[in-house]
Amino acid sequence: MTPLIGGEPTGPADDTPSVMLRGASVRRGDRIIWEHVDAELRRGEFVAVLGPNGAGKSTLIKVILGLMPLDSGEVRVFGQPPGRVNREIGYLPQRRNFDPGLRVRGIDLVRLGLTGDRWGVPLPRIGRLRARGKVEDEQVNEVIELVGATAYANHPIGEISGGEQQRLLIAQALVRKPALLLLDEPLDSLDLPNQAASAALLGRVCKERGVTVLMVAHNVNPILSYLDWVIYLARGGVASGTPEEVITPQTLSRVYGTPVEVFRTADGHLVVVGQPEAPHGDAHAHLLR
Amino acid sequence: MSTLEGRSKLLGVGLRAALISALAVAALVLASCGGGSTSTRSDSGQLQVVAAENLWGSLAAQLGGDKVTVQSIISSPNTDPHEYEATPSDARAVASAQYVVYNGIGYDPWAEKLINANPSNGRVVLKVQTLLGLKSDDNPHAWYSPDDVLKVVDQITADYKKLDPAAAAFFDTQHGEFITNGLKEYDASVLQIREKYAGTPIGATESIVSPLADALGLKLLTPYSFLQAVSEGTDPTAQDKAIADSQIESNQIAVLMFNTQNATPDVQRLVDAATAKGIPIVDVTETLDPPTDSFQAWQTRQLRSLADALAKATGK
Amino acid sequence: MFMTAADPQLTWNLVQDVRQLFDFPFMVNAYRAGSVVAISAAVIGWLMVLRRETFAGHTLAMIGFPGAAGAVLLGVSASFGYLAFAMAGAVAIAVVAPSGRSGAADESAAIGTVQAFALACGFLFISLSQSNISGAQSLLFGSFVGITSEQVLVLLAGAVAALGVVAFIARPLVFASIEPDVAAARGIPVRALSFAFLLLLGVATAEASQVTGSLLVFALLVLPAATAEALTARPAVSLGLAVAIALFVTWFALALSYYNDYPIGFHITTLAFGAYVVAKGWQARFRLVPALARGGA
Repeated sequence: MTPLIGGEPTGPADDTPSVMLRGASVRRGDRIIWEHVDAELRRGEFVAVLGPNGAGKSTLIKVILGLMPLDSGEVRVFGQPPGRVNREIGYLPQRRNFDPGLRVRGIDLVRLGLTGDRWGVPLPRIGRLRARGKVEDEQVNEVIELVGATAYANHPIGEISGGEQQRLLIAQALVRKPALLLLDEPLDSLDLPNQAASAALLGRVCKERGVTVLMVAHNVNPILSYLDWVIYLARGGVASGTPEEVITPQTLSRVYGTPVEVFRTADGHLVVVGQPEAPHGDAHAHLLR
Repeated sequence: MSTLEGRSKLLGVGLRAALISALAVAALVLASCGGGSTSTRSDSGQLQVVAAENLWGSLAAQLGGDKVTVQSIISSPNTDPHEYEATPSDARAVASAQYVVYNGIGYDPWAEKLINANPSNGRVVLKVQTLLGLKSDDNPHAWYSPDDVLKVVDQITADYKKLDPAAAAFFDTQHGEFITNGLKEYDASVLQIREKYAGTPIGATESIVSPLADALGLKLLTPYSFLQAVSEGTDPTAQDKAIADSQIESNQIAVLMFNTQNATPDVQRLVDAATAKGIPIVDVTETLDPPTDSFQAWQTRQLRSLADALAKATGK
Repeated sequence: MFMTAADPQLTWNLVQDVRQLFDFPFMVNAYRAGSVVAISAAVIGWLMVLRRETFAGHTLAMIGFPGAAGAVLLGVSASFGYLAFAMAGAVAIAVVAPSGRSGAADESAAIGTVQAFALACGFLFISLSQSNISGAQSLLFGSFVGITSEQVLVLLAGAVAALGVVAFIARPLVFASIEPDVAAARGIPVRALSFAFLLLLGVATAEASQVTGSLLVFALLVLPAATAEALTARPAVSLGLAVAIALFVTWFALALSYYNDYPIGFHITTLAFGAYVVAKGWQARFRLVPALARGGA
């Protein structure tokens, strides 16, 4: 299914990967963040970037956005160098708490996603511009309905719950009908019901609209049933493949560089045990709940 | 779109419309009016005169007689002229006046601002600084110099005649009256002190005394930099303070002239020291005190107390 | 200061009261200058409140004060002094605290020191002046009786330029203010916009200082926007409200000062603060009533 962007299909042919990484690596000083990352993410795929804290998951997102350069290897976004086609990308940075006193409504936030990068004097909606304004209103309302936030979109953003804010931010990222959605730990601060709801929403968007969803996560379970691909970043290495391929004792042991076990609990959750201390001294089992 | 959103959208549109129309009206109003006002005479046909300081105002009033109405802005002895802030009523007075007298010489910058902000056709302005050819950092206290006072008096009369040519003869008569009779005792006191006490050393607390001391032939020993500092509201240097103190200590000065309207702690200390030493203190003020006195009555009274003090100090 | 029977009195005839206000050119200029300044302060202040950078506005106003005093010392117009120092201050803030948000404790110590230092410098310049400038009162607390037509034109030019720039960068600036990360990903130059905004803030505070004085710039820069925020969350409406409030406060304050000779700074601050209190009370009304009911039951 070809996603519509601005009412027209994009230039590259259908099978150009949304994101392509080949032999990519990033360093900070003389420390290697990650290296040898290979992945080809196709349109409409739901991809998770997993791994312990400090493994450089957010860095991968920044590379795709063109905000950070690679130290070696190649990265292409829709066949172009990163940073060129950011118009086609919807981005949700890592958890932001809005100032509770911020007097901006959710609907305004979504509209910013649509017109916020437009320079020039905001003109009043008369004559020709009224039609365009109506179209924009339609787009905003439609995407707010899509995420199910119609009931509270007119409330100040600081006064609604975290989960509700999240939905509006997703709406903001989607309002331009991007072909790629990048989310940095979107489920992190949500309670379980909201995590499930957000995951379902993202899964729907992915499948129904053909949007490639790339999501950094700690917790794979809410999204496990939607996942097409996993990129696992850890100190000892990188793994890229389907969930069945990656979340196995063999692959994870290789990635961590030490023996790792993967268990499935009675209610279907995955638990990884035995990985070495995470860089920030967190010695608990990395619970892929 | 819910009705709530519909209602608030309507509010937004209405508010926007109201705001735009209010702004449009305001812009029209503000753009259209303005330009200078034309000062008109009062109902009785008198010239409206505003003086920044009541010492000049008193002269203007006497020289104009009943052909003028004079308003003086600094008119209370409690107002510190150096720190005066103009008010809207002052601005109104200046805007409606046909003749404005102000000191300049850095003394009353607010007055110049008022004049510039209220352009007016047909208004005549006398800036004493320009008349006397002085600069803004010269000694501002021109009214303590009898010669300068005469120049101002002459100019005021000339300006009155320009503004009201029909009454020229009247103004000339007023002028003559004032010089011969009004200033008679003032001139006499000046002469008397000069004849009797010329060369006598005196001290002072502020530069207000300097022109007078020159006119009277008295030797003003206090360093000028001290006097000027007090006048400008800055601290005199330690050196100057030491000199002033030692002049009192060693009884070098016969009297100490004290500007009571500018009594900083340094000045007060000097006055107390002089009193302790038995040196007579002569009080002077910047503006008319009491405000109901005429210029000449005020000055003459001060000159008389100066003469008395000099008599006591020198025994002459 | 002296009021005589000939001074205009407030009557019940409002039309006449308003017409009397414009009898003299200085009041016309005062209204022109006041309106220009109120609009630019309200708009830029609205953005400043959105960005939570209110400390910057106040600090720039304080920094403007020695600029004005220094200008008078040099014999130059005070307006240029305000502007020059406020812009320099904006550059300094942009370099030292690029994030702009009210932050850590040591930041507020630095800010407090800068403000105190600015005040001290201003007083130094005033005392150095050879010609007894009429104290600090008009520079710190505002005055409106000495505004010339030239001054009005300068204020108008500055406001038009500043608001023109604001209009051009409005949407990206708001975006960058609320969500800098997302905006940056979209290619919006967040840091450049922050710097540009601080410069605009310098212009707005320099202009507002000439009517309200350096210490009371808050009354036009912050209070109208904060009041509008309390009444609505719709950006266009709240911006319009902020401008309306700033204008009406300024107009009323000028009228009051004209009739009772009290300082303009006092009236502006009181009216602006009054509006704010009323708006906050209105905003809290839903919390207040149930709280009272709970207390009673």
